[in-house]
Amino acid sequence: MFWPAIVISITSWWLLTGIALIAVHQPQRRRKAVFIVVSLIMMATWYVIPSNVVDNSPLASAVGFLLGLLIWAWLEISYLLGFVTGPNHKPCPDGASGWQRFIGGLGTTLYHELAVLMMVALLVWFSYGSINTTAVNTLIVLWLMRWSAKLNLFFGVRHFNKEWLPSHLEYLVGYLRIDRASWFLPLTTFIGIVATTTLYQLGYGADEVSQQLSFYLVGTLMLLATIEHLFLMFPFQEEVLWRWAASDDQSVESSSDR
Amino acid sequence: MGWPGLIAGVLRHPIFLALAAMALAWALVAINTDIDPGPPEKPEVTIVGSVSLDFSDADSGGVVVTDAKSGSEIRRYEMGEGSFVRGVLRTLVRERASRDISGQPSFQLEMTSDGGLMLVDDDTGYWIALEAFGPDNYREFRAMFDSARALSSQSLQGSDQT
Repeated sequence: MFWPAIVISITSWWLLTGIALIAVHQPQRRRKAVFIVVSLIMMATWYVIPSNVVDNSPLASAVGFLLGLLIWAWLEISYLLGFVTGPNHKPCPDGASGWQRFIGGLGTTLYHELAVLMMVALLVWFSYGSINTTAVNTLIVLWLMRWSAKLNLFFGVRHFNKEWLPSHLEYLVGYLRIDRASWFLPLTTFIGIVATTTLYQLGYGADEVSQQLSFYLVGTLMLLATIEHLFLMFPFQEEVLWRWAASDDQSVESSSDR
Repeated sequence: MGWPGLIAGVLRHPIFLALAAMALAWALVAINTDIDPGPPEKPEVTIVGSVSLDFSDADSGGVVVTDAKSGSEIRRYEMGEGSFVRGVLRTLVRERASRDISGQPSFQLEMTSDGGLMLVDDDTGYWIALEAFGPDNYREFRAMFDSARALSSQSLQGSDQT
């Protein structure tokens, strides 16, 4: 089940990232409709979760992975569309101290982070003691690695593709440090590598096909999140991967309807 | 560009390739889900006797076998002993674990009319024919069967006397 896991994980990551980019770069008049569609998908996801966590088949592991990704997609898209953000919508004031920058940055995204914590807690509650924990493991990896990436953007990174932020969120850039990497970036990347190998080892040692698939799927997601940390360190030009989703035309369109 | 060119263009497009790879991977997963065969069919044999055995973990890696009816201990394996018995148990317990059945396992040890022994888990339906693993291993379970039988006939006699 190693190769199916790799393929499912990488293609889902790539396609869903692209679809999310298309969704959040829609012009203002379509944003509400996009939000309603992804919200309906999210509710359908929660409807499926209870039957998924008690199903111990390989297919249930793969579906659980997808469910985790879809919950994350709602969190991500609702934030980037501007529906669930935070109390602070102002750009970072010039000459703000590190602490002011942190509080201000947290303010831009506070409601979103609380929504993330709520959904993680809800899914942990649904999955506690269940046989199939793929969905909750997927969501936890996405949550922790995203917080790690965000902290890195706060502490300092060497490379960040800010063109992907929708125009209505461009004020966020002031809260980020894009001039040099901090010690936190190599540390979190290293932790990501250790977590990836641990998850792969758990998959290798698993008795059952469904467990094996589950660990390989989550492990590959951890690998991809770790690679995304590397994107913050070196200019890989990874934007080529999603040019089909966030083309220049769309960003021109979205910046014109400000 | 005519139709052939358009089709070739679609087939070579990265999104199409990703979707195709994804469909293939999901198909592989689905096939693996479907071929889970479930417990094998039990052979057409006559069961002439059966005892219930409880298996529990003892301290420091031991395994204790008790007669489920009387609760008396029949056999105890210390750490490193009874590797065949442990292997057989592990096979049956794995099926319980995959069905989320918890608790200490209790299995039926059934004797067939031709003297064969089968260890059966009624909860999962899985069973193992023990004579297939050689005479030494068979004797191990035969001794358990005989002890459990002796215990139940003792208790029968006991109830006759009162």
